[in-house]
Amino acid sequence: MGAAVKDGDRTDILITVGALALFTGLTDLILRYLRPGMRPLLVLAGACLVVIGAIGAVLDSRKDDHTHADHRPSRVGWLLLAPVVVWLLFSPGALGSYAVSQRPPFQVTDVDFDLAEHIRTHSFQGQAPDLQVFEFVTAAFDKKQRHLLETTTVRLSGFITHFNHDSDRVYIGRLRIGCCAGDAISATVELQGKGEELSDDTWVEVAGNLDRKATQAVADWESPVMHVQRLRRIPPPAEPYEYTR
Amino acid sequence: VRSDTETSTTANTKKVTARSGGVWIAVLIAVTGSTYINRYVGSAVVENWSTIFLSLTLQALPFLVLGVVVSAAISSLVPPTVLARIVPKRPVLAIPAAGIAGALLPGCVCSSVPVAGRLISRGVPQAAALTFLLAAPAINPVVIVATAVAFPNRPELVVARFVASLATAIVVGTIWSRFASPEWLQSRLRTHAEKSHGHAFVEVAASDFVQAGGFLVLGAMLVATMQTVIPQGILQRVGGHGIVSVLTLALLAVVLSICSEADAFVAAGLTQFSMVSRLTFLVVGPMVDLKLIALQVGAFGRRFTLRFAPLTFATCILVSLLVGWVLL
Repeated sequence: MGAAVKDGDRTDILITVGALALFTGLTDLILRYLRPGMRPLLVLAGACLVVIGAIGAVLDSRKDDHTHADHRPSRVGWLLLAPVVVWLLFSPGALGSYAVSQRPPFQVTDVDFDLAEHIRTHSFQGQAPDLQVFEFVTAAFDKKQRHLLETTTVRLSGFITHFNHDSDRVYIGRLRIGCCAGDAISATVELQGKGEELSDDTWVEVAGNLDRKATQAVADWESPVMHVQRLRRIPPPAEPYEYTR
Repeated sequence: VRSDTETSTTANTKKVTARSGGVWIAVLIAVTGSTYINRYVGSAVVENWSTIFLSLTLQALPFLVLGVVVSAAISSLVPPTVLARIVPKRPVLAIPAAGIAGALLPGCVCSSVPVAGRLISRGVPQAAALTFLLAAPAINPVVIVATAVAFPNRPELVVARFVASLATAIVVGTIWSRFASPEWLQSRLRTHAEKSHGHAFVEVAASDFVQAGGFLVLGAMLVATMQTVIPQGILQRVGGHGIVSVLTLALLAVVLSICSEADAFVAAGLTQFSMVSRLTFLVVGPMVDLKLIALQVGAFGRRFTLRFAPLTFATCILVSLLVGWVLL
């Protein structure tokens, strides 16, 4: 497409991009790419684009031969169609195993998470307490909390990843996003006892407890180890990412 | 030159208002292609790239629309004389004032570029508008709160980020006002013809959105490529301290182009690195990154960006080192 963006194309582009934003914002598609809190902003932006595009089209159709001296049509505007084309072509899902292998694993920092309080203040309907993968990693490397995690059976859900294909270790992984998938950080827990046969990006729920001895043997930028008691396959959740609680 | 353009535009009126139908061709090709492509190209790399590319674009879209709408409103609704009257004439006052205005208004890179461009075309001194452009995404209240949440036991880092970012914006503005030639900046934003306010608003908003949006998409493509091909995990082992770690994280901030509301969480995870290098990451990110460079080329031209981005990058590093040395 070497041609400049003409006025008529411009309004087409606005409406098309606006429609993509509206569709993404009004369906669960947004959860693959953005934090759910962005929903109203995205819908508003999409609506603005569609309205500006539609008014522009009406104005164009009534235009007399007085146009602007400063009008400089450029080609770069065509690139705005790229998101629409990429979405139509690939309809890409949420980030998964590949992204985990590209990112440094989550490191325990000053993030506040109190496992005892989490168990006390939440109801788990008779099942083992469920934790975020990030929370498991935090507690596993916290000297004060690791004993509780060793003695308590907890549930995690995430996707399978093998990230070093040179070893036969299997991990459960999850990504956490702040604004969008472009800022995702990853957390992984090594699974011991089950799951070896599963392939990357299979969603599972595991129940188990921290294997403290094995975890103490790894550096704190590696993954803690879970002794798995139960593992079941689950469908990919509508919200594929974890967020700060 | 002007009369030349006018003649040719009038002659081409029919052509300018027409559509080439490129949008429908692209959509048609994509829809047809999609039935084949998923069968043959199911690669994790392609999917990872597409997800990051779409995420970055969709995330930036609302802020770009906001910037373009505010910019179009200034252009079509605010009389030219008003801005000239409220902005202080002397750079000594105008530059810090612009920095503080940036600190108070929650903005994003994607909104502040079109707004700063419009302020310049309305007679605000370049240096003051550029100080605003740097400060708005870096130190607004949302960013400060996010940094405090990501580093709950490190209040001094939050202070250091605020101080270093504001100082960088003011230093760059001051250097620019002393040494820059005004012709370096060639505004590519649209100025409107004398029409009714409503017409002008729609014209300017549509035109600026397509221009700035094209460059934003270009930036998002570059960032998605970098994020997909660079194995960031190896960084954990490079790590370390000293100037090498500062430069590593400064460059990482440029290529990752993480939005300023979320970068503190990524920095919190880079525990192998010294606090000063993480401060540099947080100062550089909102002021120089691939997405922002693309937007600046789109709004102000290549000659401008080739000078402004390296100046800002170097200033960010020097100021971060200094502030980090004092505060961290």
